[in-house]
Amino acid sequence: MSRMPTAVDHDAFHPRGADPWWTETVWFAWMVPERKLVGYFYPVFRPNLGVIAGGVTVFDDSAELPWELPFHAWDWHLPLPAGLDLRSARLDNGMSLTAEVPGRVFHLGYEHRGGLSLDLRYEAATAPLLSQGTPPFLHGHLDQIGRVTGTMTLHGERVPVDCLAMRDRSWGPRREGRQAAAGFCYAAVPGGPSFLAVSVGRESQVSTGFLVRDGVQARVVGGSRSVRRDPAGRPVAVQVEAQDEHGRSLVAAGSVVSRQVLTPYSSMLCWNSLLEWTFDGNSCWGEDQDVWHPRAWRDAPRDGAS
Amino acid sequence: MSSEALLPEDDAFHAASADPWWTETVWFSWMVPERGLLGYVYPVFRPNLGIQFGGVAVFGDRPRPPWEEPVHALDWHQPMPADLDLRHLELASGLTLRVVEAGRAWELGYRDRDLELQLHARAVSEPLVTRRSTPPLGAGHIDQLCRVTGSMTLRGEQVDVDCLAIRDRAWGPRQDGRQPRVSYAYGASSPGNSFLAAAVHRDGVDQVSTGFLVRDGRWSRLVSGQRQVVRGADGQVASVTVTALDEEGRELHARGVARSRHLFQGYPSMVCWTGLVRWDLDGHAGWGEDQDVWSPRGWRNHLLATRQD
Repeated sequence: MSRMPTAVDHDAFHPRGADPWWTETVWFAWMVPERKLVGYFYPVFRPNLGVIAGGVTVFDDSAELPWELPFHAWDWHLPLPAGLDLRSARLDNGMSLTAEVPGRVFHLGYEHRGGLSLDLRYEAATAPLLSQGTPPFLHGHLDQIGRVTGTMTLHGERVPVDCLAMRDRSWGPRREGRQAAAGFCYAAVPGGPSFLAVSVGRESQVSTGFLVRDGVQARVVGGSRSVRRDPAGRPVAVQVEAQDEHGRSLVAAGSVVSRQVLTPYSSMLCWNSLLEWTFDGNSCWGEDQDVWHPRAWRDAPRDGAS
Repeated sequence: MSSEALLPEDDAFHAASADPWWTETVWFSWMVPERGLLGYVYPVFRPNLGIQFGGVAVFGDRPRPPWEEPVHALDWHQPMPADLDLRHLELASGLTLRVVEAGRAWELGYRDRDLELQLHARAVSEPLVTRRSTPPLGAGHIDQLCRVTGSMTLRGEQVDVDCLAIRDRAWGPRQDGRQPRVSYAYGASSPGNSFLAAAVHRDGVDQVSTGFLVRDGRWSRLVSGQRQVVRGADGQVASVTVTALDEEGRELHARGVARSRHLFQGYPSMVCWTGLVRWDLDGHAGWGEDQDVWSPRGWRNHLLATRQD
């Protein structure tokens, strides 16, 4: 049964065992839809191995491969300093994170000589969804939509940011070499409804998520995510049909406007897309993450549908 | 002139400094040119972090992203067991390495769902041993042409291997995030006729700084030269010419035509495009490789410039 998130769930490193694969992550997304641009701030901590992986990536409709993106800087082995506190963290790769109001307001900073600086503020706009072992999440997971404001400076150009986007946290053993198929999509209307639908398997059965409508937030308990693909297998449109724990129906349809392919881990391949969604009679922005094991992606039939 | 000597302990882990970025690598390559296949065994060790990464890759006969190659089994974060010995190596991934004859012969094994390897590598040239930094090769580098024989079983199909290919070893600090533009090309028509040319890109020119030439069975170190490439509309190397001089004053003229190009993701901040090259070595046909190495930012800028042309 679910529990309420604690301050640790939101902001700090969780207690861990001796598993070398114990992995703790912090993810913030932001988007500039008029530029078809999405950014991720995603440090990954493996404290029992003493390393930090992950980094910052920015995509738009100009490229989708990591080495062609407007910006992409991803570490594998940054030494993890002793005593690092996620509530006020400054990493050697230029990332900084401050929990200004626990569980609600965070500041993201970044300086990288490769052409990106960030000065972003996230303020929670929904309640957090805390999951514990609900597939596809392996252990602890927290998902929360917020408003992200501030500026990104990309190759010298200052770009204002004001969007609704997801943050998540995860913690638990996450062994290299394994990766189940999964989907993760969300959308949010400014001042209005929003949803998150998380699905498992290539059939994309929705296993968890949330729906916010009329100011009431409830857990999504079932449904489906259907993906229309181009001949190369890339998502071009996503349809979500789901129900929340109050019996409310969620129907959302989104069209991909830009995408990237990301390997955030050696054994994970994600097609991350910016989508324009139609949802509760509104047009709004959001994302879809289409998650594969790289081998499964390579071997999948390219029939244009799934 | 003879190369600096290998030491018996060069097959084992070298003494690491306290630098967390101390990195020791073992690379064996092999190829089946008639199938367009190029393979790498490349385990990488960061003993001060306690991590092993890298693994095995097989590049196919057409360009694809790394994760769509016939084999792309490269780890990032395998815990490095204590007491690991490179002379009798067995990794959790299924990769094995055994020194059969110190500095001269090795057996490689591997087994996973895509690939099984039973390969034997025997040195056919003197090693180029670099113990003082000669960019792009760091202080702690061995490069040696081998004859690689045996078999690879690729998704159930057994493919015989019999080729001339390079093995290298490297040890020293290697911090992620720094990557100068360099290149590394080699070719061989026979054990007695081969070359390796490593170059640094300076002032718009790929300056050959080190390498070796074997001609008529005589090995000599390269001391200068240039690598010139013709690139396609995709920015990739289409053909390559290496002209260089060795310590004996002999001239090398190698002209190569590149087959499909492939990204080898050995490190997060290295964009290494590689692929088979069909070489003309002083009138003798041979095979080899050309590695075209960039920083991610450098590659992206090159790509943007190429597309604007």
